[in-house]
Amino acid sequence: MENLTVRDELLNCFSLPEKPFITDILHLNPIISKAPFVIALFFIIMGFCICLNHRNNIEKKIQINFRTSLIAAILLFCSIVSLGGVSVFIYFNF
Amino acid sequence: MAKKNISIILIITLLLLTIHGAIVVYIDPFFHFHAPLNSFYYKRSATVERYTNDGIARHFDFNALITGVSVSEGFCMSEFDSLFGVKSEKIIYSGGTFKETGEGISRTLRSKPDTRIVLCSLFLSKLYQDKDHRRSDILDHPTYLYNDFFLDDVKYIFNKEVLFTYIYPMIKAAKAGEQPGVESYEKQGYLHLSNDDYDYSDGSWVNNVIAPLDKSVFQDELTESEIKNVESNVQQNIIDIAKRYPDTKMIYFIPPCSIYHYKQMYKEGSLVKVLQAEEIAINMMLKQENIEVYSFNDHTEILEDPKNYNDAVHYVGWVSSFILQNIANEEGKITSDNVDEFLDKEQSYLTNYNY
Repeated sequence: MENLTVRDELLNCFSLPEKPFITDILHLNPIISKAPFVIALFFIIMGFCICLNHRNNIEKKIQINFRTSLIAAILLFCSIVSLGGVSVFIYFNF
Repeated sequence: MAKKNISIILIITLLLLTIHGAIVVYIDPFFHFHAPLNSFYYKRSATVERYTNDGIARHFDFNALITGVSVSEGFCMSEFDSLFGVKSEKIIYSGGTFKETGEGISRTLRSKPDTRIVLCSLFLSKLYQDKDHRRSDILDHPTYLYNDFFLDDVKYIFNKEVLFTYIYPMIKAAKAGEQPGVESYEKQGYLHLSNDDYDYSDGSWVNNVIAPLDKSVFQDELTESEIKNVESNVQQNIIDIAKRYPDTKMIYFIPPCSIYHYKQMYKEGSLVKVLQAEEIAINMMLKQENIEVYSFNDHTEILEDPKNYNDAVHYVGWVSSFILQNIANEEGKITSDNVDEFLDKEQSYLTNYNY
């Protein structure tokens, strides 16, 4: 079983800046601290759901209504604020 | 129908961006728009100092500046203040270049022309870099925070990492009743040593580098283009700034890095280059009236004892204090009268040392 342990570095890839905010709001901190792989698992399950549960976009007729417009607006906002980041300076190689 | 929905998308997006931007501008964790608010605790993380430095320079209250690369971090601000009779602030560019420190000094003096003293490190091995060189291993230099052009501030205002990584913990701490304020850089000693695990001031760090070299290494000399680099680097990032602010005393000090730092240069074959660059730089700087240059490389008892350092470059707290006290007493000052003697002695010591 030891060989099946997921490395922290890989799990950290799924840790987005908004994670502390979301886990605080949803009171998930006790779960995350005991099972840090939950976030990675959530992304993987979500990814599968989106890929497997929906028809191909070409086949699908998208209904444009307030709900889809709202989702599009939120996704556009998330995309814009994700464009930049903060480059943390790790001190090495003087 | 489509037009209506596009309008909905744009209006909602703009609304969300406005809320996001308003929070960033109001709390302003990097001090870009205003001084710190009285209701939050502002951390000054050394890992993001390049984001906060410009805001500190413009919005904090001080009349003396301690700046430079990480070798300037260890100065105790209260000691500096009492020795020189000023109120200082510390703006550090860890691993930085002369372009960065020069830019920082220039921006500070532009907003605070009455600054009395600037204390800055003169890190020799960076002298022959290009005058506009910045570290290439930093993914994104936040130069958009260093200019007066407001449109590129969108990279700061609409940045979810700023909101969630820096602002959210501040709001959380304020809600939890944490005392408001700003983290001080008062601490003496190398600031990156926030954890005892990284404290090698027992001299144990030297175990990795103490083995003597088994053969002598050929030392390169400065090329024509490198000589030009030194001249333009010093001219643009030191002398031109000093000329613009003749009433500000600019104190540059050559950090007394350990002999193992020079050993590394010797190993790379760049020691002579560095010493030649130092000679060019010092001779240029001494011609400018409001620049003073200090060096402590003649204190070989400091350089050769690994216990005075946390690694080959960074000295412990008492060495920082020693530097300040010597500068206050004008000891270790290089003048046009002693420059040749000093450089000959230093060159002889460093090139003939048994590495």
